[in-house]
Amino acid sequence: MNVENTKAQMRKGVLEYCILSTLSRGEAYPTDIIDSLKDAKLIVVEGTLYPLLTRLKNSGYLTYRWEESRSGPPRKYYKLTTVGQKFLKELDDTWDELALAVKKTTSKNP
Amino acid sequence: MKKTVTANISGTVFHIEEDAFLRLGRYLDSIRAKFNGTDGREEIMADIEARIAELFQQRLEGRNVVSIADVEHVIGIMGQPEDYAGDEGAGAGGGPIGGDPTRASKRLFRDPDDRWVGGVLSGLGAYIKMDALWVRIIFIVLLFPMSFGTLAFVYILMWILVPRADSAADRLQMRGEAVNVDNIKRVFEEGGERFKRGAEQMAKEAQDLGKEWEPKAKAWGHEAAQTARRTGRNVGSVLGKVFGIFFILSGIGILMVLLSGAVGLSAASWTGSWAGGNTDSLDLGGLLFASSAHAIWVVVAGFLLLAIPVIGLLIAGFHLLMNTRTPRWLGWSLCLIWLAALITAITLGVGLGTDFRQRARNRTEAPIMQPTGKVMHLAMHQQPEESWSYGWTFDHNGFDWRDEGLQIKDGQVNGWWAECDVERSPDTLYHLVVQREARGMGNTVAATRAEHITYTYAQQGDTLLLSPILNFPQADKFRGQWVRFILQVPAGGAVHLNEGTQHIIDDIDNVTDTWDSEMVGRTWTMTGRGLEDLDTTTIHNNSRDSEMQRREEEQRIYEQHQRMDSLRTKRVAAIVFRGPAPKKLKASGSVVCHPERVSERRISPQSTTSSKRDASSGTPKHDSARADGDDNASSTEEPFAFRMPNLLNIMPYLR
Repeated sequence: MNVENTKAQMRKGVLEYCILSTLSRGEAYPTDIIDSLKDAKLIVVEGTLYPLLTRLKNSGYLTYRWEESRSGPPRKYYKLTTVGQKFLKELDDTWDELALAVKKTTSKNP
Repeated sequence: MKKTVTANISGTVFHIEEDAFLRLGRYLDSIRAKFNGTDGREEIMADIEARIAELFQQRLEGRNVVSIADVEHVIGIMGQPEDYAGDEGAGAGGGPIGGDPTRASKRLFRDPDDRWVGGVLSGLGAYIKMDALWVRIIFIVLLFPMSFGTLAFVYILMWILVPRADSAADRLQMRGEAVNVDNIKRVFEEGGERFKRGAEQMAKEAQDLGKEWEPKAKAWGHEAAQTARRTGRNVGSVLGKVFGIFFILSGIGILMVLLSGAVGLSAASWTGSWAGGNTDSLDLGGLLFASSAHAIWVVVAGFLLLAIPVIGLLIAGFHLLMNTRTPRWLGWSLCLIWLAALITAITLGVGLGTDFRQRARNRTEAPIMQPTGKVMHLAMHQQPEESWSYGWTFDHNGFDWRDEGLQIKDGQVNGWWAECDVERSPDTLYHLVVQREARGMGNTVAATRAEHITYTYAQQGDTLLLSPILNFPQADKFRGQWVRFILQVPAGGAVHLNEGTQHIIDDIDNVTDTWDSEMVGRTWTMTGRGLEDLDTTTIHNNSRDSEMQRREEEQRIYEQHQRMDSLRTKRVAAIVFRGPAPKKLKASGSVVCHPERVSERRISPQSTTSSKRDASSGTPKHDSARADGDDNASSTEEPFAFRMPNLLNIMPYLR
């Protein structure tokens, strides 16, 4: 057990939720997602995003389409599937419960 | 001045400085290694490469060449390989997309960065795209069954001949893609010169190696102690590792047994012997299958069918023990090889079974002279030799193990499994009927094979000598060839079974249901009820108590010896002696058998088949003449399987 590892684990847990949340606002390609996640300091290096996206896509929560880019390789634009939306809804609820629970247990005054 | 390399990254062409190119290639390789065994690895790699290409484009801003600083910058953004946690539990799917930037002609090198001894195996691993660990494991596993020296010699030769990957470019080429014939050719062409230089270099390297291993061994000891302590804390992982070790050990054990079995079998085909002293397993295989080669294929297929699951066990063991990931191609190719072995085995097995489908029976009458006295003596034509003796000691202890006697000699197969039965004659004469049968794909083939069988019998005065050995051409294969002599005894006539005939008589019906081996050495008369030993019935008839005892004894023996193929309803008829007063039937004494002086008659297929083939249909039904005829019927219709040599019983037998 070390602090870095625990931090990384906590981040990793919410990362999928955040990716889905980002995509619930509309189609996006990885760099968009990276930017929003970087702003929120959720990820430090970009490489970690790609395995997650592929996993979510393979699980049926995401789909993508190719779009030509003027400056560079064609881009994958990801969006939520209906299954993904349902999944996100569940995660929303879970997150609310979790946030409440954490708040309850960690608040100083009983 | 710096050399540049042109690389295609995700569809865009970049000029990259050589060192930067190598750095990027190594980076991508190590990331790829991180996702080893993850589903959708190629897709993830393609995404990452696309992103790298995008980042390069953003960063270059009109510049032409990617430098090492650019690569380091991009790696900083993308993250070090350590940041890419192996993506456990990934879903299925993900097709391979994307190009490989490290496309280069491939050469075999020794890897100085990842070596245990000379770096030969890790270099080989890089060449065949296999983790060096696996190459080493395979090498060590192979080291034992193959003679230690051969493989060690090959290793040293490779150490000398294969160049060390010294420059970075070499290392890249070591992992390149295309297998280049030129390079292999070059290795041989330059072999002579290289050998001299290589040997010198090897000597130096070996010297350094000694110094190098000393601290390494210490480090290992330390590491091992740490591992032991770490695993001690976690019972679950310890259990997993115990299972892993168990899997590995048992896997290696079974593999050894299989290998030694295969080696032993092939060795037996060269030097060893089978039952007949000069019948080897290869001939025996050729006797069953279309050729010896087919038999070898069956053995190879069988070996693979057994060995591959064992290799699976080994892989599982290593996974449990060291959490190694199996390269996917290994699993696939093992599966494919196993399926191929299965198909081979099934194809050959079905082919063999098909050739056993039809049974043909050929009934002929062999000419004999009528005995001058009232008794025909039955004797063995050949006493069993030493080499035949194995097997028939169990003669009546379950199966017909006598089928072990099998010998291949001069294109002829000699089999020790002809049998003899005694029946009631349809007329007042003694007859010797010979029943030959064989199997084949069709009736014609089977009939031809049956006709090819030769058998031997001879007559010396009142003694009929029968040989338990039948012959058939080796080209006919073993297809259930079988001979049954049937001695037909007229009513009132008698047969004396000489000593030794217990090896040829088979399930002779008699009134007292006496067991074959107990019938030998006695004279049996064909009375109205069937074969009876008049001596015994008379003696026992004198005392009712002893008759009861005898019957109980017989019942006991019967149950003891109950054979699988003669489970018919037993009839213990009340024995009431009616008939002439007993007379000494053994007065003539036993005939001494001198096979070499006996006038011998060997029936060849040509002389018998044409004239006697119709004899079976011409022979009148004689069962109706018997009071208990139905009791007799089963003897000729015994299931075939019991007559096949026990070795062949295991073959799939399709009806």
